[in-house]
Amino acid sequence: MSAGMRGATPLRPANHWPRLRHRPLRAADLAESIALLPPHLELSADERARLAHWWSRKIDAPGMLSGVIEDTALPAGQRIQGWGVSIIAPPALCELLQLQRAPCGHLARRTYGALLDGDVALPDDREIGRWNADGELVLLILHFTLQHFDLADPYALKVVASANDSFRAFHDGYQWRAMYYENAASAAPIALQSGFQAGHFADEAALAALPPERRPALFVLTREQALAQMPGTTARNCFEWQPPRFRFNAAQRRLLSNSLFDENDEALMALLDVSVHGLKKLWRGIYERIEAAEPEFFGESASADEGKRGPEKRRQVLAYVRQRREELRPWSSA
Amino acid sequence: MVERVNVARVPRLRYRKAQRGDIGECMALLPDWLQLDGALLDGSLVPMDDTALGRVNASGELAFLAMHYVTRAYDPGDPYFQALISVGNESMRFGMSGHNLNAIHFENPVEADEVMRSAGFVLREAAGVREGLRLWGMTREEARRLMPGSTARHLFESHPPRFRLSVNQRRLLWHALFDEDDEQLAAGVEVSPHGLKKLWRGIYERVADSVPDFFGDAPAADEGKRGPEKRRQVLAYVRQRPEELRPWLPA
Repeated sequence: MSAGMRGATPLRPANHWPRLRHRPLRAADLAESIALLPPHLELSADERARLAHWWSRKIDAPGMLSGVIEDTALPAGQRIQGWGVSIIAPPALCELLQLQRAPCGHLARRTYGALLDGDVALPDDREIGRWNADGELVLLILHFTLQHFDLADPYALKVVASANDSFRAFHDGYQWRAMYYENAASAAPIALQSGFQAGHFADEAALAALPPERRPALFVLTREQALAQMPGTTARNCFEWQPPRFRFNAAQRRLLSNSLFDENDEALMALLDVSVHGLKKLWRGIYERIEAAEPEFFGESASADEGKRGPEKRRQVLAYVRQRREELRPWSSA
Repeated sequence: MVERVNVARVPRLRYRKAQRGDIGECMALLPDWLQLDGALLDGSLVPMDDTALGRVNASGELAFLAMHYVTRAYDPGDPYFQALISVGNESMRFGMSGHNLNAIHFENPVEADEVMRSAGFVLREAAGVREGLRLWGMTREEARRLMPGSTARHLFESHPPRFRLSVNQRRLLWHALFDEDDEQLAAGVEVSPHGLKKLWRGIYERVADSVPDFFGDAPAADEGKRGPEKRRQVLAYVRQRPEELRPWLPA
């Protein structure tokens, strides 16, 4: 959490009616988002520039889960009010950070360092699919920051509420083994109220000298901890999971994930880097996959084409995956 | 490593609004502890209409009474039951959020204590609650003292609506959020195909009046070629801003 990083005076006009929404991070957001990197990363100007360049190449990587909260009532360029970044941690990173044993603080800083230096790589779709099917997925939440950090400000709480929705949209439907979450100690109430449990760094004593807004704090939720509770919080609910029914390929899953944010065809084509024809082909492939797995899914609809019946089929598919997000996640059973 | 699952036997839970056709099945789920001698049945209490709800909502005095939430089976140790409770939480968030809520009250049997607590509700010491039942709730003041994160807390997030849609327009959008096709939508809001088009057109006009650049450089507000795209833009907005779906009538 970027506690105080933008000062206490928000840029919002008087009588401002916020119109918050969450959505995936896009390339065009990067300049605005990079400014929200948390102070406990302690980046030099050079490191920040290097990281921005790295981000521009990795924004669509399958192991990268990132959403922004924007206030559409504000002018373009000032809209992003919150930014969250998670990665699916490969075993090499878990080992490097001692993540599942006794990690030291500054997980995000060391993770970015290892990724930039090439010591570890983000997992690809196939690896994620395998770990997902095995129930061995480990999430590392690198940071969640607010443009204006003042937990007494109702506006900040609205951003946090939208961030909870965003977290669910990007993290539901996986078979998590555990979630590790590093953030500034000053933001602890946000993590705890979302259902994470307080964790401890191995070097907690050394970190204690840092001020709360620059002191990293650890929050954890393992599968065992989650399933010992009833559902009700953001983090707990992300551990509800079932195997997917249709096994869509990576391009089909990307199309469906982006369609859930009600993007139009032009936007979808640009995001997926496909032509009109390519987009139709992707939809057709989705319908065929569904009909192969579940012949009754579309009722009495005729052939699986993107003609007259296409928009109706699309609606039926989106209605289903909107509530069954495991269909959007990589899955590769042995 | 977790145990491999037999995919063919995996449940496929989803939530949706209750429909007329569900009533027979739902009635069998009425809890044993209900005493059907209440004010609604004898007509001494009449549910508020859209106008009354709009007034109460705009004045910030709206209170919900969750009368019962029942699952077909109750076994806290069963993963299926937990999945059911999870979808129940989702359904509550989706169905109730966006109101300018002052308080919610929720009666449930003692067995549901953990379900209620995990969803963020606060136990009340209330006189007159029958043995074996508990009263839970949350008020706006309590919610404001908490960070967002639980289902109960989430219900208190709202803004005043921007478009002030009519009751039929709101009903149409509510149905459309469940990705129903036009036939189902027309049946759901009880209009002809022509009436449905008219409703959508009215929504686009209302939106464009309130926020002239909402649709970008789209030409006239009709349900022609640009209709599906406008519909998508409106649904994308109201899906995350449910206050547009709620009655709102300031004094």
